[in-house]
Amino acid sequence: MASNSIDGDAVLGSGLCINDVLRDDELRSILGRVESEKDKETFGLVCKRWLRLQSTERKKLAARAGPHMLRKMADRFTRLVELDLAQSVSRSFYPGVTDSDLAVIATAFTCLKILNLHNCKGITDAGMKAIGEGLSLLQSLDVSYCRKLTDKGLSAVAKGCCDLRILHMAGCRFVNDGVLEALSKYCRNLEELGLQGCTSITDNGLINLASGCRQIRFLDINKCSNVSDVGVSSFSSACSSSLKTLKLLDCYKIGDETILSIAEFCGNLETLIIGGCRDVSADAIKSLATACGSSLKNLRMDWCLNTSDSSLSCVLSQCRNLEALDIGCCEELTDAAFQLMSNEEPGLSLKILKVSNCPKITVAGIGIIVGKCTSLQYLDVRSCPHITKAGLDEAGFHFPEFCKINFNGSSISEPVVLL
Amino acid sequence: MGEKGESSKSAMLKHAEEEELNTKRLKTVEGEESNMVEETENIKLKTSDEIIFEVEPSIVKEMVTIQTFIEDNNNETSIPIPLPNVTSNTLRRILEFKARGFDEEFVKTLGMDEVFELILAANYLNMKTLLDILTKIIADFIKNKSVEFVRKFFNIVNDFTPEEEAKIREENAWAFEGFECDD
Repeated sequence: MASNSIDGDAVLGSGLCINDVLRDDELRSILGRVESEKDKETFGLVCKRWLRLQSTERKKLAARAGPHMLRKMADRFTRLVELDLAQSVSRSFYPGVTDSDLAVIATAFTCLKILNLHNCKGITDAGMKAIGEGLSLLQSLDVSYCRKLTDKGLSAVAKGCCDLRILHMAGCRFVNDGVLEALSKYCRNLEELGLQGCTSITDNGLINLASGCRQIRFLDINKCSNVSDVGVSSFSSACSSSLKTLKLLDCYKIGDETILSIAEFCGNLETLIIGGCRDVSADAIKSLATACGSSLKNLRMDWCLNTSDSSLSCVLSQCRNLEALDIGCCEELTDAAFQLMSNEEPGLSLKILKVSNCPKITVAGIGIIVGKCTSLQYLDVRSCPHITKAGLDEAGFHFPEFCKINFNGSSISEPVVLL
Repeated sequence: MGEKGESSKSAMLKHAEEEELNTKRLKTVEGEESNMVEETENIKLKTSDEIIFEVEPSIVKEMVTIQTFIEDNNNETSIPIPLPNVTSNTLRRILEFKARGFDEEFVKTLGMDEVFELILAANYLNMKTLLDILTKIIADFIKNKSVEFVRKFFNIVNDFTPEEEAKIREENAWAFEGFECDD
């Protein structure tokens, strides 16, 4: 069986044809070790057998639309699990995704579990109805900013895709409580729901949702300005142990009842966004910090105008795993909030701290926090009149090596964790 | 052979179980296990060309197919385990490779035909570490190479018509744009 050794200089591999020796199983293992997209393309162009293997093994696909091309792809990629047709500034095509495309997807890609239609503005309820009727295995759907969709289309998806785990429909402003009722009825395994900017959602919808979907770990109702304590409290008590992320940005009707309900029921909460919830009191924040201290990692409470030095101090001392904190525009906060932390307390795990528009915080307060936060990566001190680059340099604080400090917002990109 | 073979096999297993029980009895003092360490026998492997290899149990641990065979046969290890898909040359290479701690450089001294044989054997024996190393070596010959090079290197005849190849390239232009690698 002698042949050339397979060192890097070999030009000819073997006297045998690889296809005569190895079976599909072994060739599949080789394909599994081919890393780049370009090399996978090469693999598929070698011969018909390799093309078949490459095509049937492919699980993910990012493609441009068009019914004719989608049919071709469905014939070739028969076991596709994830299809990405999302549109963005950097990735768009004319005329975009249409209901005709969705009709093809629904009938041709029957194994599909993940479908991304983010920003596909042309699709309507008719396309969603087709998805609901055709893709019974679907587990994740993103129709964020598909602005023509209403509760009718998305209710059809809920009815047909009973194993749905993730649904994102941010910016679908025609969507109302009907979708939440359908999800509650048909999608009992729902884990992640994004409703940012769906302003027609009300407390009734959340109460309905909570009655059926009790495994939700992520709920984004940022800018859903019609929800109040009644709905969110009901939801937080129903999904108590599973809930890890709750986003309530600019839900200005939210107050202490919601925060106290979260404190009572949601012991595993990791991310809470209550920016713009101006009625939340300092005492409620203390209760939250005490109850969720061990789990909370990200807390955004900018524009929570009642936040006091003692409540912030409580957050910093109780939430030992906190990695991101936004206290921007909390105008009553002073350096005392940081001074209240005793010297004996261990360091903080904060990586992101935003204190923009806090006029009473000075270089001294920042010095205390920097001394405690050895992992700090981003510090936002925009519009803090007492904190300047010159002032920090003069004080001689030693910031962690990779820490970015945002003084004026021009060149430093914002971390997305608190959005 | 049928039933007769089956009955003799079960009789042999029964005999082995009785022997094991007697051994355990010898090691037991007043109902308690003694601290004596039971010696584990070497495992016999019989290749497709009828050669029998005796190997230590620690070596066989990575051969999931053999482990499963032993478990399915009540941990009976006295009879040689048949490996109809593995030649003695290939098994010798595998044992050598294992002894060298799965040294990738060692594989590169082999001929491509031998590597193919090793891949088949590693897959049959369900040796994940070995299969991963071998398939990675083959995959590296595809890395950054032209289609023509790959065909020539692996002695593959191009069975696409020019039209078919053009069609696939067109589909690829639509289907592979800017997406991360599959998991």
